[in-house]
Amino acid sequence: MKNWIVALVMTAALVIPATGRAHEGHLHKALGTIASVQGEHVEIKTNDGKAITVMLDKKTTVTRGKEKLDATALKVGERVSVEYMESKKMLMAHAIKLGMAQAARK
Amino acid sequence: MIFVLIGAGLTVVLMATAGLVYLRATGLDAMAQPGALETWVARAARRLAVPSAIRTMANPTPKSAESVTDGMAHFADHCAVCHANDGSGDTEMGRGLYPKAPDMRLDTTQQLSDGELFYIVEHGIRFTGMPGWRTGTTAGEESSWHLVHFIRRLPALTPAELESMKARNPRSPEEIRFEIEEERFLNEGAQK
Repeated sequence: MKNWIVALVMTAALVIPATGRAHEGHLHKALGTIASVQGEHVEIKTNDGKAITVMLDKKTTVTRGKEKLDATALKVGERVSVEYMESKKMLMAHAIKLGMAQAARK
Repeated sequence: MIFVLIGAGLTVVLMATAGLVYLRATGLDAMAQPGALETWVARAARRLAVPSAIRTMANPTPKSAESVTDGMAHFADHCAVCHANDGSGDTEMGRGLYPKAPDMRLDTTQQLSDGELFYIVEHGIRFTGMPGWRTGTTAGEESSWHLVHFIRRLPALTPAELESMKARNPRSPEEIRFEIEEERFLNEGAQK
């Protein structure tokens, strides 16, 4: 009887943690222009005519060429290439590359 | 004798039941995280599987800029698709494996001996996504030892090194087309 209990506990220990699932989507890329920036939400009108809203988090990188920037560099009208992933029904931005136009005007 | 037979029968029934419970509860879903006990058992088994003569081996190839660079190029081309250039394992493939591709910058990898790392690269690990890369040639072994040098460097990679690795990552024709289009699109406004 004792062995049965030990075996059941071992089985439960193997099975139970494995049921906690981490759902992650596929990584997508899109090119477009920033339509609006509201806090951590950035709306992008993509080159194929769609509108997507990506969410920024602490891991999101923003770059222009080789220069690393922060989220304040995201302005309406900027050309961007965005890499994002669907997570919990939100599009989480992994990386946003800004067009060189803004830098060229400086 | 009868008790031995009953004991053996019960053991078989118990194992079959445990297996069935495992299958039904997990659905063999690779997106799940292995439990702590399973992780501990798997790591112990992996350690036992590495012959002690190899486990205690130090890297026989001298550590040099060339050997680390060779390992880096090899890693970017063959390993980064799952392990990521920085060894974090934070890739689409790495996140979808069971078990997940580990963060190789952490102690769980860095505290493995040179021999253990070499053995894992050469032989892979059954029941995981880690393939074996053994070719049975001296050149192949040297390449794996260079990879071990590079794995030791993972916790201290510089942004410049990571950038140079990107150019060596395998890309599909679709990704290459996107990169060309991206470069054109992002630079276009600047040229006006």
